[in-house]
Amino acid sequence: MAQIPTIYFICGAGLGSSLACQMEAEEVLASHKVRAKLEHESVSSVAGLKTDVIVSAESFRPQIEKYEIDPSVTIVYLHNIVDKNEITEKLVPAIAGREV
Amino acid sequence: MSASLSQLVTDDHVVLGASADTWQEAIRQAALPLLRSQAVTEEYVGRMIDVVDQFGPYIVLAPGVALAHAQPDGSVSRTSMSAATLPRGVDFGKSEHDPVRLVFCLAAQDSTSHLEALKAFVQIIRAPESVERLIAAASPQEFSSGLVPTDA
Repeated sequence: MAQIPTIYFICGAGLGSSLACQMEAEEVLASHKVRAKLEHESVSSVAGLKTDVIVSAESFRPQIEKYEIDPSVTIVYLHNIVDKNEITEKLVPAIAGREV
Repeated sequence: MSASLSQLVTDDHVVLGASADTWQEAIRQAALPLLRSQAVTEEYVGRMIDVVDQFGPYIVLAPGVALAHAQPDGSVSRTSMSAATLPRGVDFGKSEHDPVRLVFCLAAQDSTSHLEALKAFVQIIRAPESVERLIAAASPQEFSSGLVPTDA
């Protein structure tokens, strides 16, 4: 059974910038032929998340690091959440190898 | 049904030539049309400011452009967006993207009704010439015509 990895995009409200980031990432992943399930949520929901990868802005690092997150989850922090180059550089290696 | 960007940012939701000394004031200016049309409550405006207080200026998504937004929690009566141009600019504290000269406010009632609009928004703000065109708009109509992505 092929397992498609899940990526959660996190921001303060879970519907503005996280979604903007998700859209950019969608294009990046498609151009690298990486399959993944993309979701977005607010930072307050991070604790209970079942996911493979979490993507968020650097400014949420202190908040996210407070939670006990399953060590198997890769967390990617971005300086510029709509910068395709940064997304490519950080997210593509994070997802590589998770697709079975 | 997801609304397009120009459907959400209606002519009466555009504030041209605003001026603000602080980023808080800039968000308030940009949010005025949403309050006026009762799309959101005063509480929602306060929450958009709280988000930045708490997590920093991550809402500044591109050079000169901020997307203010917060979790609705009943303070949004309908999905809508507003925008303000601030020709003098205001610093949000994100050095690589300051000064901000274009502030959008997003009020989403649910997690899907603003999808199309946000997609267009992202396409527009990543093109510096499109951002400049919006900032230079002389009328709300001219502003609206800049909200249609060209590379879609």
